[in-house]
Amino acid sequence: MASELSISDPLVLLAQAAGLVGPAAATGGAAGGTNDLTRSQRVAAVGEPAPIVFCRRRADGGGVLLQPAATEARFTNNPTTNELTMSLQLVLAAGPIGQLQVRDVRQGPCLVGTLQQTYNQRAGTWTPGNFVTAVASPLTTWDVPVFCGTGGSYRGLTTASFVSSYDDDDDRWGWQINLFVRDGRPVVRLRDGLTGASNNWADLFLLLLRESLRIPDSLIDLPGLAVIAQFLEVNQLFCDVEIRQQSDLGSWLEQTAPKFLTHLSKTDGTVGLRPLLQLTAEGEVYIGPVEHVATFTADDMVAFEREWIPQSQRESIVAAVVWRQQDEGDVGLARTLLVGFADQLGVDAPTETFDLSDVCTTEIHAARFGAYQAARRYHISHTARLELRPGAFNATLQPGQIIRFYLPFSSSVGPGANVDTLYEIARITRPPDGAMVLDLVEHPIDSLGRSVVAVEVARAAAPGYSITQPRDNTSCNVNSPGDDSLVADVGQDLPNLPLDDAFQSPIGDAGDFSPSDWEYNDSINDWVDSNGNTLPEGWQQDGEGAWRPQQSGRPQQGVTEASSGIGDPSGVSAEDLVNNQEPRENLPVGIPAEGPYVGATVTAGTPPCQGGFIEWQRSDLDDASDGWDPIATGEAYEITGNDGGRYIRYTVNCPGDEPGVPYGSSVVFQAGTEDIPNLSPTQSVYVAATYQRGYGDTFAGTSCGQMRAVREVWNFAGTPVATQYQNIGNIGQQVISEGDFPSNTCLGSSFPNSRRRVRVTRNGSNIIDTGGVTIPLGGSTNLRWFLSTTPPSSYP
Amino acid sequence: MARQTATYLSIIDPASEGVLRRWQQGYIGATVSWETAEWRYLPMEADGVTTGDPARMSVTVRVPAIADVLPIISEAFRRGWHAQVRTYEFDAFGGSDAPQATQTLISEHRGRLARMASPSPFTLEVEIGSIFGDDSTLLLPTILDSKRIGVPLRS
Repeated sequence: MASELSISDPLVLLAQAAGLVGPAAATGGAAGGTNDLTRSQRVAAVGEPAPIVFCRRRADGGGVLLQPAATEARFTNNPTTNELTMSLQLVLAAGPIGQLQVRDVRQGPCLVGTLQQTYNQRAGTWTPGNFVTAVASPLTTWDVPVFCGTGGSYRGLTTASFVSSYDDDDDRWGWQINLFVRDGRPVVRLRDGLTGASNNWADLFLLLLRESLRIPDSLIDLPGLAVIAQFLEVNQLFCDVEIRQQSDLGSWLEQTAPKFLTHLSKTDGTVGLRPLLQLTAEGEVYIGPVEHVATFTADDMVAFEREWIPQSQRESIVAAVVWRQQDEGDVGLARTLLVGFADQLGVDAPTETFDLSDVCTTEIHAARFGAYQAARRYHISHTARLELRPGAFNATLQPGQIIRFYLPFSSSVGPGANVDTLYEIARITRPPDGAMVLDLVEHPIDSLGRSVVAVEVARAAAPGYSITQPRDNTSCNVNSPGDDSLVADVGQDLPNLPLDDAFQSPIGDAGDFSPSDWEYNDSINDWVDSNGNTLPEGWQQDGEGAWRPQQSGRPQQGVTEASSGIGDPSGVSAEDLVNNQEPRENLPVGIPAEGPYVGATVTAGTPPCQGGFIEWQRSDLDDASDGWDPIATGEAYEITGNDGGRYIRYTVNCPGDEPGVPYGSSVVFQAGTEDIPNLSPTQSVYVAATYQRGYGDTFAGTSCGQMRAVREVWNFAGTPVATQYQNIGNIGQQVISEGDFPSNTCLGSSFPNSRRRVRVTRNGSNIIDTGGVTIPLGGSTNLRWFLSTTPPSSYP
Repeated sequence: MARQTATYLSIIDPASEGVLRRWQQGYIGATVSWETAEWRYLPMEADGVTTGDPARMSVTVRVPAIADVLPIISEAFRRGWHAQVRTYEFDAFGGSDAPQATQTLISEHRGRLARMASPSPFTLEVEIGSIFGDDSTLLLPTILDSKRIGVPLRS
C-alpha cells in the first residue's frame, strides 16, 4: 500500500503557527472590564445559552461582574405618589454559584434594591405582570413593558429576583442590573480536593470537558491536570471568567489555554494540558539548565532544514497585556500592562496587544504572560524541520518536549558551522512508513544552559499599582457598600407550568409504529384504535412483533405471510403487541452462577451475523415496559452500581436491519443490588500489598469477594480526587496465589501524585483496602500482591 | 534487516471502553492475536498522524466498503463512538506471520469519526477527528429553552 507523507504547512509558516511572528493577538478593545453600567436592562432571548460563571474572589483579586438577562418582570405603582416598584427575574448562570452579598448588587452604578437568589427554581415569590394604574397629575407616565413574561422551571439555573422602587420622574428603573460574583460554580478543586469555587484554569478545563459529555474521565489526563493546577496556583495565573458567547469547545479551549501559559496536550491517549515552560516539582518555572529528552545526530537524520525569522519580524516588541483590575464588590477596570525589554519601554517601540481581560484579574499574571510573549519574539531566531529514520524514538516523543540536534560537519571550503541546538517540538508527523518528521522551534539558552524565556518569565514582576475607582458620585447608593450579609435564598416552583410534553416532540418511531392502544376488531377483521380508526395503510407487523411501514416491491426482512400478523391475529395477543413490539429472540445471557451482582460480568456471545454487534440496554425505571436505554456495547458487560435493581438485556444488531429494529434481543434479567454474591465464608484470606521489597498492611477477609487494583489520583493536599480500578479476580472458592501489577501496563502509565493499593470487597458492602504504596514524584513502581488461606510468615 | 509496518484499526464505545471491532492490515488474509484479542485482516490505508494540537488532529483511513465494515462504521459515525488507528513497526527478517512482542508503536490516534464518505461503491473513506468531536461540541451546553424560562418579557 502506498504511504502518504502528510505535512500540512510549509516550514516557513511554522513561526506564524507558533506565535513567533504575525499580527497582534488582539485587534479590538478589551473583552472584559468595559461594561456599560447604565445600558438598558438586557432581556433574555429564548434559545440563548446560559452562561458559565467561574471565579473565586481572593485577597489579591478575582470575581466577575455579571450583567444578567431578565426573563420576567412585575410593575406596580403607588396610586398616590406614583412611586414605581419593579421586580425582575434574572438568570445568573448555568449550574449553582455562590450566594451574593448585599453590597454586590447594583443597578447601574448604584447600590440599590433587594435581591433574592436561588438555584434550580424561580427566585422570589411574586407573579409577573404590569399592574401600573393611572395617577392624577403624575410627573411621569411609566412606560414600562406590558409583556412581562410567563416563567418556567428554571431547572439547572441560578436565578435572582431583584426588587426596587423609584420615585415619580426617576428614569433609572430601566438601567442594567450589575451583580458582582465572588464565588462562581463550585467544583472539586484539583489542587486541594475541596469542593468550592475555583479560579484555577485546570479546574475549568476539567469542568468543561465533563459538561460536554463527550469525553469520559478515562480519557482525561487527571494527573497532568493536577500538575497544571499546582503550576497555576504557584504562579498566580488565575481565571475569573463569565463564559457567555457560544462557541465550539475544542476551539475555545485551544484559544484560551495559552493565556495561562499552557497548551492542549494528548498523552497516552488522554487529553489534558501541558505547560509551555519546564516546571519544578513544586510547580515553579524551572530556571536550571535545560534538560532535553533526546539527542539526534546524523545517524538518525534523513533530512534537516531551517528557516530563519526575518529581522523585520523579530524586532523586540512591547507586549501590551490587557487585564482586569477587579476591585471587591465593584466593577472591573480594563487596564494594560506594558511588558518589554527595558530599552524598549518608554520609547516608541513596536507594541502588540494581548487581551486577557476576560479571564485575568491579577497583575502578575499579565506580567508573566507578557514576559513570555516578548521574550520568545526576541530570542527565538529560527524554526526547523527534522526528518528521522524509522525506529528512532518513534512514539515516545511528544509536542512540547525539548530535544538536542547535533550535526558536526566539515567542508573543503572551510570549517563547517556545526549544528548543536536545543529545540522544542511543536508538531510531530508520523507517516505510516515509520519515519517521523519533527517541526521544531529553537529553544534558546544562556551561557548557563538555562532557557532564556523561562528566566524572563520567572523574573517578571507586577508593579503593584491599583487604580482608584474613577467614580465621582455615589450619592445614588441606598445600600451600604460595607453590607456583606448574604442575600436571601428564596424561590418557588410556579404552579400550573406546562408539562414536558408541551415543549417536546419525540421522534425516532418512524420505523416502529407503536400501536399501544390498538385492539383487534373481529367484526371488521382489522386493528382499530380507541377512536375506531383502522391501522394506517402501509403498516404491518413483522414476524417478530415489530410494526413497520410496508415497503412496496420488496419483502421486508424476517416477514413472512404466515407471521405478518395483519389479518391473522391468532397467536398474537393484544398484550404482546403492547409490551413486545421489538424482536424477541429470547437469546441467552451468560450470568455467573452467583447471579448478576454488581461487578459481575455477563456475556452475550458472538453476534450470529457477520458485521453485527451487541448492545446492552437498561430499562430506565423498574418497569421494563418503560423503554430501553443503551448503556454499552460489546459481547460482555460488567454490572455497575447504576444497574442495581434495574432490568437489563442485550440486542443483536446485524447489517441490513431496519433502523431502530435489531435482529434479536435477549431475555430480560434484573441486576442485583449488592457488590458480590452472598456466599457463605469458607476460608480466611490474607492479603498484603507491598512496595517492591517493603511490607504493607495485612488483614483478614472472607473467601467471597472481589479483589481489585486501585489507583487513586491525589492532589497536592493528599486528598484523592479520582479513582480507577482494575479487577485482579474474583475471590471465590479458589484462592489466588500472588502476582504483580506493573505500573505501566495495568492501570495506564505511572505518574506523580498517585497511590496504588489492593482492594477486597467482602460479603455485604464491606470494603477493605491495603495501606497501598505512594508513587513518588516522577517515580514508577510495581504493586506486589499476595493472597493466602493461611497467615503468611513473610511477604514476597 | 527488513523493517515493516502494520496498521491496527479498532472501534471503541467510549461509554464502556468496550472494543467493538478490531482489524489489522499487516498480515494478509490472517486473523492474528495481539493484546489478548483477535484482529481480522482488512486491507486499509491510513494517512500519517500529526500531533501538536489535540483539538485539530485527524487521520484519514480508507477501507473496503464490505459488509463486515460498513454497518459498524455507520453505527460508530452515528453514535459518536471512537476509532483508534495505531501503526507498529517491526523487524520482518525471518518471517512475519504474527505480531511480534518487540514491535514498536510508531503512531497512534484516537478520536470521533468526523467524516465518512464513499468515493466509490467499493471504498469507504473515514476521517478520525479529534477526541473533542467536530465543531458541534458546544462550549455552553445549557440553553434557555421554553421549558426553563417560558416566554421572556419584552421591552
